[in-house]
Amino acid sequence: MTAKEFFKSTAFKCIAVLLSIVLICGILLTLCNALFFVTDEERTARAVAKVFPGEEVTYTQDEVAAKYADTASYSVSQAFTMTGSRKGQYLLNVTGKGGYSSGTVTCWILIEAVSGDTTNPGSFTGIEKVVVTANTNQSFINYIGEDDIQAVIDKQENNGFTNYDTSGIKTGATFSLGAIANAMNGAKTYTESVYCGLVQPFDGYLYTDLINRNATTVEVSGTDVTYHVTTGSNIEPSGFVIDITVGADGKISSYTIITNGSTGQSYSDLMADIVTLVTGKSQEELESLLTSNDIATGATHSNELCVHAALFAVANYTTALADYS
Amino acid sequence: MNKYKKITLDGIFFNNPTFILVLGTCPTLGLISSALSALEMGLAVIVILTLSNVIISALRNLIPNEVRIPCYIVVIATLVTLIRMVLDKFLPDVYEALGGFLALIVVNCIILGRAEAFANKHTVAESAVDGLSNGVGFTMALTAMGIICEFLGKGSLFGFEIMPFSIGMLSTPAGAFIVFGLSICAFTAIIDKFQRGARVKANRLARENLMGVNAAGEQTVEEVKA
Repeated sequence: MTAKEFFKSTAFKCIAVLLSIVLICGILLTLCNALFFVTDEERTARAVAKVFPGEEVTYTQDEVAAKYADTASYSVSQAFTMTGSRKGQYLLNVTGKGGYSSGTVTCWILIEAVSGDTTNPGSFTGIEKVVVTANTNQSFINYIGEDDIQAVIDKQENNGFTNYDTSGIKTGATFSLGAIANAMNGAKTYTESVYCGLVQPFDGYLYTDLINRNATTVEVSGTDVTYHVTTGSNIEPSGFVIDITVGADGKISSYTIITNGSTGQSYSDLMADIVTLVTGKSQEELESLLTSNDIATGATHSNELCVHAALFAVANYTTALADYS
Repeated sequence: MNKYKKITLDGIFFNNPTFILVLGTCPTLGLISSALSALEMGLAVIVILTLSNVIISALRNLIPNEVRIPCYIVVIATLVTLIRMVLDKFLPDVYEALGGFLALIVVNCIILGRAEAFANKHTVAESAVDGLSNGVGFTMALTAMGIICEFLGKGSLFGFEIMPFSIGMLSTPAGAFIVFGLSICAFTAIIDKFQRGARVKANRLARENLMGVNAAGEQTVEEVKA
């Protein structure tokens, strides 16, 4: 086929028409994109407006402090300091982890707090509002109403670092509510650390997500570090109190459950297996235990609390030895 | 019958894309749990279907037969992207409510089907009327089923709570499937009854003509021949 024949052929016409249509459409979309582009600021303003329906609010967006932004139980993606009529309030976009089927729940959490710094610390006053905006895998989240979230808020007594917990609140979506509580606790921790200037106990320690830092103490005797660990709640079980001793080899030499937080006697009885499993284990062994079938005692959430307490003890052995000697 | 009237009635009733041709089933099943989402989806389809029919009809003599389908897809995809941009900018709530189904309009069989079956064979004006009427037919079907599903499944209408009682299953895709099937049955029965009535009437007139007794008292063809 000669060049002249090609240019007169149907094939050339097909290519030319198709390319022309694609080109025109591309130019049109480029122009429209320039006209209708929605900026990040506009999207943020829309999202914030949904938290305050019918109210004009002003705020400044803050840079998220990476140190406190992402843990095993929550992550903070956006933070705002409210101004004007809502001065003294902070708005956080927090994703609570540990929901149903390992999913997450993302919420806007409005917090009231007195700002401060490390030399003149402020205080956390409370959570004003929680607006759930998104979730992953939370099939039953529609069972959770505003009343249920308010019940979680009301349960919390504002005494230091006590966590929000969901025990006793029946919704039909226990895990999803647990993820929301994780988000609320994350928002509280973040606000206290970043905006109130409160240096939390065990700041910089590992595996603190499920630990009640305010109620946990450490004693050092020679090369042995003994932790009197109080855990937080974990979906259904409330806090455990466990005495853990870690020796110079970095392994648990003694593990005693003082208070069992499991919801029933049948679950409490299963915890004896956990004591056997964690005693004599190092950090690596305990980490592998978290994903192992060996931990399947039938009391999953209590197990998580107990293993995390053990991990907290062994993972921070060197730091605690230095801090508390 | 006026051709525009016929095109309109076909699009809305006699060849309704949802109930008779059973096209666009994916957004139908996905969105009829809420009457408002169904209506919003229908309106978006009306705009896209009308515009795509107009553009494809206008270009029908330029587009070679061999590449017509890719050309239609490019045009439809452009229109869908354009509508998404406009909704995202000016109606973000609608944009969020429709979610992924908005982008899936690109592969909606109704739009490609009308482009292929009608727009590339008819004038711009006829194609515009066809797009509009099919869009209206789709919207009416979706909204009607959305009202049924939302009322029975959630006890509300367009987001406003009406009654405390609800059958939760009807607000799920499985419930939507059942409502869709029953709606097809009901709509087909009504259209069939109407068309049967029209056929009976036409047959009676034809028989009267053959017997030489015209209802209007005019001469029949046979009388003239005699």
